[in-house]
Amino acid sequence: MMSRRDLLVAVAVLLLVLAGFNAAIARYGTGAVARQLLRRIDGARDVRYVATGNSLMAAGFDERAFEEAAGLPRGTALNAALGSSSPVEHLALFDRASHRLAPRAGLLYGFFDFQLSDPPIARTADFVDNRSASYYLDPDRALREYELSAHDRVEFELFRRVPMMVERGRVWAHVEVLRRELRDWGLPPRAVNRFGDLADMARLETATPLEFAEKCRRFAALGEPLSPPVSEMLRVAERSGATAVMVEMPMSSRHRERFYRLPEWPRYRGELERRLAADGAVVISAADWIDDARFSDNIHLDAAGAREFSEKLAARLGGAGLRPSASR
Amino acid sequence: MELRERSQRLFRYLDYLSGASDAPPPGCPRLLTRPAFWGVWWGALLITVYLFAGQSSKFIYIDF
Repeated sequence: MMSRRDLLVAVAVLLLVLAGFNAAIARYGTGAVARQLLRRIDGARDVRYVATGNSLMAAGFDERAFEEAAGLPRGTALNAALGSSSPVEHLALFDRASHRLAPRAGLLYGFFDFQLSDPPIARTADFVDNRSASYYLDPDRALREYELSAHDRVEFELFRRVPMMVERGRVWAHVEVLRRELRDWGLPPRAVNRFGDLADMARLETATPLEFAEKCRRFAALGEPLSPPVSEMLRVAERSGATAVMVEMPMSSRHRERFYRLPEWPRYRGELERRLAADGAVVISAADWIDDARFSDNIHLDAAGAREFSEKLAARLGGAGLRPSASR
Repeated sequence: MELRERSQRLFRYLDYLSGASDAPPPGCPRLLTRPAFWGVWWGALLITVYLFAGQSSKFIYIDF
């Protein structure tokens, strides 16, 4: 049996070990994708267009191709999109970028399916990948915008102060990569892209057309389909003098045939556009702009697809009188 | 050393490290009896649990 003194020594050493591990994790966390993006945003100046959204925009917006097609100087288009993130993180990213904008700039917000309507319901267990950025991007705003239970609010407040908890998803990703390597040992290589296994990306879509149609009906019936962080993003755009352009991201023909051909979809989209227009936002539908061959999986564009999409987007903005001149 | 003796010795160490036995096995290095060792050992166990606790998460993206 350990004496009380020995127990205290052991606990003190344990706390030292954990403190050291936390310091190492905090240092390791500086390389997280979201933190790299923050450094890019903070280093930007006179941004004419800031693109944000989730992985669809992160993979789909080619800054250079957009600038060339729009006749903009280099470094004036910024891709501030973050894979595996939600509108709450997008709001925080855009708010940060809004301090780097040139006068009368533009927000290009990429969305698909119900991204603009889904309520921001979350649990702390959800903040494990890039969404852990909510712990440090703007935690007070995240607590306001996310619908969290009282228990999850307390956890959020505690976790945001402990690097081991903030960066746990990044550490776990290494174990997950190892697990996948062991799983695939001796098997033919699986198709992957920068985000992971292609087969897994199907899980990001709604499971069935029936479920998709039901969601369309439910949101359209609400008559107020905008998610609160999206509404707040439009207010931030207005305050910073930026034009908000909501871009329905390119989708594969399979996705469009399966979901966007449903009669409920145009009704939902009509209601959504009406609400966005009331808030001063412009909607561009790019869902059918890109050929299937230029997708790296069922929803993400490959590099050639990103170039084509960005060039077409620049042309469309110019055609709609929304493109700022290079001399401004 | 016979296999049986080796395995008995291993189990004695495992009993000691897991807390099932308070007494260290015969011939145990003194380092393993010091309180500071227990602090490091518990830390190593907690960090191991932490590293593998993510298996209940549904990873789709590996981009972070």
